[in-house]
Amino acid sequence: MTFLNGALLFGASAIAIPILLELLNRTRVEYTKWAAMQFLQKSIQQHQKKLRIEDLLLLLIRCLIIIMLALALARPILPGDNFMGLSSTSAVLLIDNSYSMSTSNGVDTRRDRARAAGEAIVDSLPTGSKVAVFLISDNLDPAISVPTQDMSLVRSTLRNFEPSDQSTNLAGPLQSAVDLITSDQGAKGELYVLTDGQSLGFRDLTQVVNTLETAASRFPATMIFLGQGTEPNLGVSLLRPDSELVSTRRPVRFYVEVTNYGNTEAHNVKVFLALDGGAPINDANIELIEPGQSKTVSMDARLAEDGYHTVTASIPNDRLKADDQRTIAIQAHNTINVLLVDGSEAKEEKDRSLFFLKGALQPVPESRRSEFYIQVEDVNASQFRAANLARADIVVISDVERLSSSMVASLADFLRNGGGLLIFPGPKTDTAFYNDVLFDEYAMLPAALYMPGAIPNEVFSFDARAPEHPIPAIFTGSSEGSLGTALIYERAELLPTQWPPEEETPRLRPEALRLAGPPVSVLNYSDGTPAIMERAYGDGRVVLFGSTADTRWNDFPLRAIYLPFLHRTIGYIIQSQDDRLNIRAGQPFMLNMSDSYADATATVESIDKRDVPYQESTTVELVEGQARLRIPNVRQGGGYQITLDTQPETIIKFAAQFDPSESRPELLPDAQKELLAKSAQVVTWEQGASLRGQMDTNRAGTELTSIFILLAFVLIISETILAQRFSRSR
Amino acid sequence: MAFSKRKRKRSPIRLSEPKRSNADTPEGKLLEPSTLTKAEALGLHARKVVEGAMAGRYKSPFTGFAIEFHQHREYVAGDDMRHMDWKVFGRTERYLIKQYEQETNFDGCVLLDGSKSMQYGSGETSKLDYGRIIAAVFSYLIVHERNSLTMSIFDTESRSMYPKTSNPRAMTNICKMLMDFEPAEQTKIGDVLHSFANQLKAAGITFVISDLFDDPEVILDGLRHLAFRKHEVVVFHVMDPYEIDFPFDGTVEFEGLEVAEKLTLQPHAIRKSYQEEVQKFLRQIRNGCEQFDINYILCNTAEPVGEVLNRYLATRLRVTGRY
Repeated sequence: MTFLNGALLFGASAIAIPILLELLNRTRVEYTKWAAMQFLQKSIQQHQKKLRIEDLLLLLIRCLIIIMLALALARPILPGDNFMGLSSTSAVLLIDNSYSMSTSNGVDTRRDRARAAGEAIVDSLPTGSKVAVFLISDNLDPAISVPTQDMSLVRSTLRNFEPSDQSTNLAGPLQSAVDLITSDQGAKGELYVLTDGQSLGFRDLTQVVNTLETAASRFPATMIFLGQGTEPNLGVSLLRPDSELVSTRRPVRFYVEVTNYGNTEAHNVKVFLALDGGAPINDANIELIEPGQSKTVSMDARLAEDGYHTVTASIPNDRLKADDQRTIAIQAHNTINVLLVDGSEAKEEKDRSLFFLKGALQPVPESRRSEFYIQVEDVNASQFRAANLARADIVVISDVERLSSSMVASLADFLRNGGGLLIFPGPKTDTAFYNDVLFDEYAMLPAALYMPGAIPNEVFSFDARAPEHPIPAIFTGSSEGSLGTALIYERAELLPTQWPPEEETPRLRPEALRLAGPPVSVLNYSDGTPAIMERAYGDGRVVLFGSTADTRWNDFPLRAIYLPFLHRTIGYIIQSQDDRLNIRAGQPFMLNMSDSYADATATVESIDKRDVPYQESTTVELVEGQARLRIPNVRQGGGYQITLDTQPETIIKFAAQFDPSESRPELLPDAQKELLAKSAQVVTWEQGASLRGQMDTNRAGTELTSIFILLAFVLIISETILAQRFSRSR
Repeated sequence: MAFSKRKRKRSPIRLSEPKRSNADTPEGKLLEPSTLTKAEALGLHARKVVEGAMAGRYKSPFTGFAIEFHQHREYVAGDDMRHMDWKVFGRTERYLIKQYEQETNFDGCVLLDGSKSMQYGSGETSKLDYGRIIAAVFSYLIVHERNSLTMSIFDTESRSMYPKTSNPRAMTNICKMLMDFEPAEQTKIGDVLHSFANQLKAAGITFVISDLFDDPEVILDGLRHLAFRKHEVVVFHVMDPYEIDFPFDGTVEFEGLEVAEKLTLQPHAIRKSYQEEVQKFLRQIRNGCEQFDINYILCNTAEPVGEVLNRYLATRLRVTGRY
């Protein structure tokens, strides 16, 4: 049994009142001389025992009356629907574990308060209750998924659950939790959501309300808001290199964006840049950041070795430390090897279809080409072998009629492991092969090709007005250097299809369905039809052009924008490989690897200094023929290093990013809380406040107040009758 | 052959006008004019024939040879020949002895309980005060009729005693004795009655004025002893209304007047049983008295003493049929 007003139980001490009154009555004595003592003695002798019993009975009843009244005032709650039963309840705790819960008020963090509130709820539960604990952020993380009666396990979980740097979006995780707990038809209990009440988490408020209303019949919910006020907060909202191509051969400039999420100006904000978890190697100062504004500084760093690196930008710690540093992982390349496969078989260099493209990839004098960070190897289509792929980061196929089956398979592996592929059609291109094999069977191509042939006097141009794709996104405007200046005389129409396919496509390889991503238009013609398309394939990426790489069908290679566009395309493909290295906190890290890594043991450690160092071990597993490294539960932001026990050791680094929007300090306004209150009990809790009583109020149980009042009433009547009867009988 | 006794017409007892004594004097305090006037009008009549040393208006139970012829009886050997009625012998030749009904005064005894229990009084009048008045009234009536009076105040024994007197002037001293008496002991009324009964030499009337707080059997035994000694016994049982009704509330510590005992209790809790005990006691005393033809009058001190006495005297007149 629990009590809503437990303090009023002290009222039970009022039972001392009748006892004291009884004693006082005995001490408040009237004295009299008396002659007829003999009658008194006889009366007393005859009735003394009976009188004592009656007095004790009356005293007992009076004490019981006071106890009943005290109990009634204390508002006892007997859990469960069954009055006489000791039925327990099943409580489900959903604890907001987003990084905004790390916000400190100088004494404790919101997460600390959540832990305390969780324990207060556990304390308030009737004996025999069961508790499940879920951590929610932008996903649902079951800490104790099956309700347990082991309260020490629950308390331990509440005290020790790992904080995450994920953002909040309560709607989805809440729905998942409700689906999970209501999947058991007989399940009934209480749902508690402990959150700081950050507005961001309730951006889908309607869905949250609907979910709570759905669950209300079996799991009436209590929203416990732990956030208090808004703390001043600066956060590193963005960190990126200025170029997609990170090379060890030149310094890399990193842009760091710092946002002031607070309500006061921030002055002289120091920004530091560090590599691979080391000490800062560069710093910058931002003189002023207005409230709600962002400022970006750039800092250079040179990556000494090719391979994986982490870059960390940080600012001095404030009340929310989680967003005071941001880490990205990048792969530095000593060189980017591009394999050019030319199908034109022209004898003259300038007649080859990749003549312009080759020059554009290495726009330096011949003497310096060997030092340039893009190295080119060109082969004829007939000489194209799988061995060539081992040395290449990106393969460019131009005007190749068709490829052998083994080469197609090798290309598929190459793409799956992160390689890049650029395809330019040409006069020799066998569209039937491309469409049947590369599109229908392997789904490498983002679109089928259709050669309508040249139509006299028909010229196409790129639609450069507002391209959305990252590659052409920076090439806007209508000046001479814009994409719109290029003229396309002949083209292969790109015909994408629905992906994944709605209809059964018997030619499609099963693994292709898994590897291929949806086709995306990079750039359209002015008539709206796609001119360049791309799609992800495994960890790699395929970019398909709709015209030739040379000037046979267009004059694009002659345009000034050709070179930067090409470099940006190469950078985009390379960066796509880096994208795999940067995950959102809370997501698993997955990396497809070559089969030689299968069964290798991977040890994962956090690079950044932490209160509790992260260390996990896993194994590279073969999944559907693909060696894959998967590291789940990367909840905290920062850099991580994976060491594979190969000979020699293989080092891979990746980074988990936090969502900068979570840094916004705005809490849910009262109006929206009122909306929530229609479907849930809303409690704004401060540490030290009695959460237990508020929980008990909402608990599905029997409040025994009226019963105790009734009992007190019955006892009062009994006392009156008995007192009168005893008095009359004496 | 029995002769009808000659009746003498008696005038009602008319007590002379009582002294209008000063209220401060013991006599004045005890003999209230209103009480005495009523008592005087009714007179005091002994229900029984009493034997008295003085000739008076009261018939002696002893038929002797004094003043008034009562009846004849056959002569038996040994009779005094002086009482032979020779006239009858002359007419009838029968030897008859004349017997006379002797009118005589009686011995009146007034026994007042002077134990400590008589000190109790819930109001202004204690039982002792009440008893003093009764004792004084009857003393006055007795001596005014020229009857002899013996007054005794007792507790465990006779504490103050006024020797036999028929002098009305003795009333002053009697009253003074009544007023001056201060209770000091507890009651042993049974012993006292036995002792007093043993001292009685002639029939008479004994007034016992007491709360009778003693063992009822012992009391009744003493009363029976008095009656056995041919005394008309009249018991004035003096009780305070609080002793009868027990109307206390709250917590009361009762300290015994005669016993060194204190009882602290809540009277309401035992009121009923107390009242039952009192009624049982009164019933026992009353039945015991009736059994031996002892007059029993329960006096509630809440009731004016004059009314009690008048009622008693009226009843007595109704029973005897004469003054």
